[in-house]
Amino acid sequence: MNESLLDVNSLTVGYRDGSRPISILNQVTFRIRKGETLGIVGESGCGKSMTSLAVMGLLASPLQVQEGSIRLEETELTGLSAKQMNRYRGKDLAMIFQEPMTSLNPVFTIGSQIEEALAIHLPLSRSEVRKRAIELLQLVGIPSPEKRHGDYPHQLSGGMRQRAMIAIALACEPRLLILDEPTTALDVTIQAQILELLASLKEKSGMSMMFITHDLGVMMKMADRVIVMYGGRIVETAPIAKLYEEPLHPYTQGLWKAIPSADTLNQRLYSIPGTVPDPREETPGCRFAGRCPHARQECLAAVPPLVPMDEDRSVACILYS
Amino acid sequence: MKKLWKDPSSAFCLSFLLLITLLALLAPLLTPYRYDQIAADPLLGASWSHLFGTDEIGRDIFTRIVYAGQVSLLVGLCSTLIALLFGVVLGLVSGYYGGALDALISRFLDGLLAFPSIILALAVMAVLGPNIYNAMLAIGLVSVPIFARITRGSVLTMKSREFVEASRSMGAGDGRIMFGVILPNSLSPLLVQFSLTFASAVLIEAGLSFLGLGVQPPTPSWGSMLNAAKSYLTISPLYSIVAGAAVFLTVLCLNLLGDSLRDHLDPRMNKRR
Repeated sequence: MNESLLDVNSLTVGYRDGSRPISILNQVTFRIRKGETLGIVGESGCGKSMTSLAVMGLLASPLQVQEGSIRLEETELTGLSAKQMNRYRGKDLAMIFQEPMTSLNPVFTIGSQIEEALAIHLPLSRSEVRKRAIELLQLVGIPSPEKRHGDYPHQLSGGMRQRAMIAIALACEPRLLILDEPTTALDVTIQAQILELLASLKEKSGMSMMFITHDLGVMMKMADRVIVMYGGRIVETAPIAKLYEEPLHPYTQGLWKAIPSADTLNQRLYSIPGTVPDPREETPGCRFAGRCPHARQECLAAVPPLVPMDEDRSVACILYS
Repeated sequence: MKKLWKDPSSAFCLSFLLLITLLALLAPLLTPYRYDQIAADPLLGASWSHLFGTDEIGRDIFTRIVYAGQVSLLVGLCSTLIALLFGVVLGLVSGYYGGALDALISRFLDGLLAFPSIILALAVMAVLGPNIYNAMLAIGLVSVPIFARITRGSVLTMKSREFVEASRSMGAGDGRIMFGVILPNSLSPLLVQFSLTFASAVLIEAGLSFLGLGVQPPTPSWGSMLNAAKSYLTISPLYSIVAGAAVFLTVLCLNLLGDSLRDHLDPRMNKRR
């Protein structure tokens, strides 16, 4: 359980503006152990999706990995050519996107899309592929899979489509499944069903997950460990229970306070003042300083490093160093 | 496809096109004459033995019309297929890869579009020499840009769609994404354009043959028959009329069919009906 599957080391992603390199992700370091679910939380634009795209090697030009490494067990992924990367995508790494409505190809049946995913990586015969596709549909809880096999995406509801997406992603039994807000576009009851399904699939297969969400309730349910990102940097990382009991970083505290709950029913919902800073504005200090209730003069001087607090938690804030 | 038969105008077009295709295919069975056989006196009027009369050297006009149909439809079909093939590949590549390659291909296609199609086809024929294969090539060439543009446009809209990203995340390579994911989503505008280009290909072929640069005698073609008929307009008007009507009706039907295909394939147009 303690072996790591994915090791991301001081990953910096950005683009060049003329001769000036602009970093959107900065020195991101984390690892995912085998069988573990790592959650990534943060506001929109803090680099969550960018991290997942970098791992998948799907950064669209002009974005590129400027520094750092991404290792999948023994394999370094950052230097791979598109062709070499294609061998890992879908096979060892799979990804589920936010919008089940638009992530399926509208002109093919869901069965043929699952079969396509199988055919890219596995040398199976036609009848084997079909059999496996139906098994997968059954696995993700789609009723009467033989019939649904021939359905087009528009004939399915949002929840069913997300199940179909999951079936496609699981086709080649990936070792790491990246989920980029997989339930954000679904309504709450369907959301619960999908999360249930993902949890049980993970139990069965022992794969690792990287779960991106801004819904802390979902995070509580799914993640073993959580990374809190802000402005392209990791500000805090901790097991979910510890993070819930005692958030250390002021930003994490802010996120936690912004969850609506029953006893704050008639109060105005808390929100962290200000907005995420533009990555083009270079500031020498802590990115959060402008919005932080505890900000001091020193905060503006240098970026606080990620300091380990105990064996499995660290935080990047001047208050704790 | 069923909807097309329900709509009276497209049903008429489909039936006419089927009829003319059958006539052309079954030509040897339908007429007792060969297309180059001098069967009677020149410039006879309509009669039971010569349905549309005879031409200036006494060949049966009906026979020549159906044989010419073979030529015109074949040239039209082949040149449209040539245009489709090259146009789709160029459009996919330029839309998908973008950048300098896109600029190069697009400017080349713009260059082709700058010429009126019949002039360009004439120039190509003049260089290659007049025969049926060169006619297909020339007509195909002038229709490449329109297919390329349609494909490129639809690649540009499809490229950023999430399902393309999703296929990439499953490890699909560039080729698979272009031909297996994006192209199948771009088929309906291409199908419509296929029908419209087929019509203009038939028209250009007739034009080239009318000018003597297309199919060479004695092989009949609607265009060259019109050319021959115009000298006898007062003596034998039927000659011109049937040759003209063959071109006119075929082109009209292909165009109308293209229009109704567009109506039925475009979901936005569907809502209005």
